[in-house]
Amino acid sequence: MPDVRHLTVGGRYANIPTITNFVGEAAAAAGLKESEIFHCQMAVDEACTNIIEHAYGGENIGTIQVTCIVEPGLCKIIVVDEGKQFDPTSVPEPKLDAKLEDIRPGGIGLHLMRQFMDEVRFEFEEGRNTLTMIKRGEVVPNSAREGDILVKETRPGVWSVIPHGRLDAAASPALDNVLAELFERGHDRLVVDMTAVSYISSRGLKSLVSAWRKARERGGDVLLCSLPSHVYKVFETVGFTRVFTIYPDCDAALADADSRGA
Amino acid sequence: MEITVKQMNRVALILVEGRVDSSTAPELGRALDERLDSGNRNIVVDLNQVDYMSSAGLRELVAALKRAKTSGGDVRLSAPSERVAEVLELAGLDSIFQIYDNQVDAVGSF
Repeated sequence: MPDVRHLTVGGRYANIPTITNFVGEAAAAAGLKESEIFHCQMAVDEACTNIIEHAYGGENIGTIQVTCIVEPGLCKIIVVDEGKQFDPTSVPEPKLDAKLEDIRPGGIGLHLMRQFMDEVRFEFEEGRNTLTMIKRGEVVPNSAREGDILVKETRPGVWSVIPHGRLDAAASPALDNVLAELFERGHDRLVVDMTAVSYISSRGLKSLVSAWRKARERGGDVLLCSLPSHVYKVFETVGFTRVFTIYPDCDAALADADSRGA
Repeated sequence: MEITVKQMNRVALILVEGRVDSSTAPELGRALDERLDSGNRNIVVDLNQVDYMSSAGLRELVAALKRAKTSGGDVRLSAPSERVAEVLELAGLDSIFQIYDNQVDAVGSF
């Protein structure tokens, strides 16, 4: 089940901190790092300021509805107002490195939103402006702790699974759960990034093989990448290098998984 | 947001603390205008304690800079946090403002 959160507040500046706090909590729940959370907050602040200032043309005219959809490594923010139609093409791009006289402070908010977020999309339908913004987190293996398993949609339909630490009898059931959940949600093109795996036992191998089998049955695959040399040796010893497609480089594994979706 | 103004010999130092967003930025604008109205042309805005600044705050700073420049003065910034520095840069304002690492250098630059 995706984590969906709603907030509706009156369109006035004093409510903006409530909105940015709400978005900050959602972005944190998505596992985004501090600077990425801040970017989401800045973007939604700018968006709501524009709504009050331009769509409503003043404070206390209408409401602002904010919805956050939280997935591992991704925060989608949807902002709806019932004000005047907003046409983003009517806002000129601010001229960076412009002379002081040429600076038009009006375009800065929208420009910052585009800088801070991975996607920014405006729609106007049935008298409502809907702004959709997406922030994808950068996976930083160093920030993860032993036992963490990061999951994210790295390409459309391709999911990366990034376990950290030991894949032994104690840790492997968690990996099984993560993989089972992905299959349940219909994702079967998986790339397991092994960069941060320090040790793998037969129990860990079993998790990966059963996932591989399941994915293949459904026409997908589990590709492995970036195995530390001592982990690779384990795969070699048990003959699993002939079972799995193993890439030294995760980008190559992702490209392969991506091409299989076509 | 808290604003403290220190009037020095040739420079007005404006210390800003907290969050500068659309609801607080007008107050910053008023503080800047007051200094400019009372004849201060040289202003340092210390951002060391600002943890958040949206474009509403940037707009006030740019407006004050334009006013100061027309009377031969300047608005200079000191000690922005990493986040505020990023916002200034993304907005293209890091080349418009003179930005100093600390208050002493900023005040001394006049």
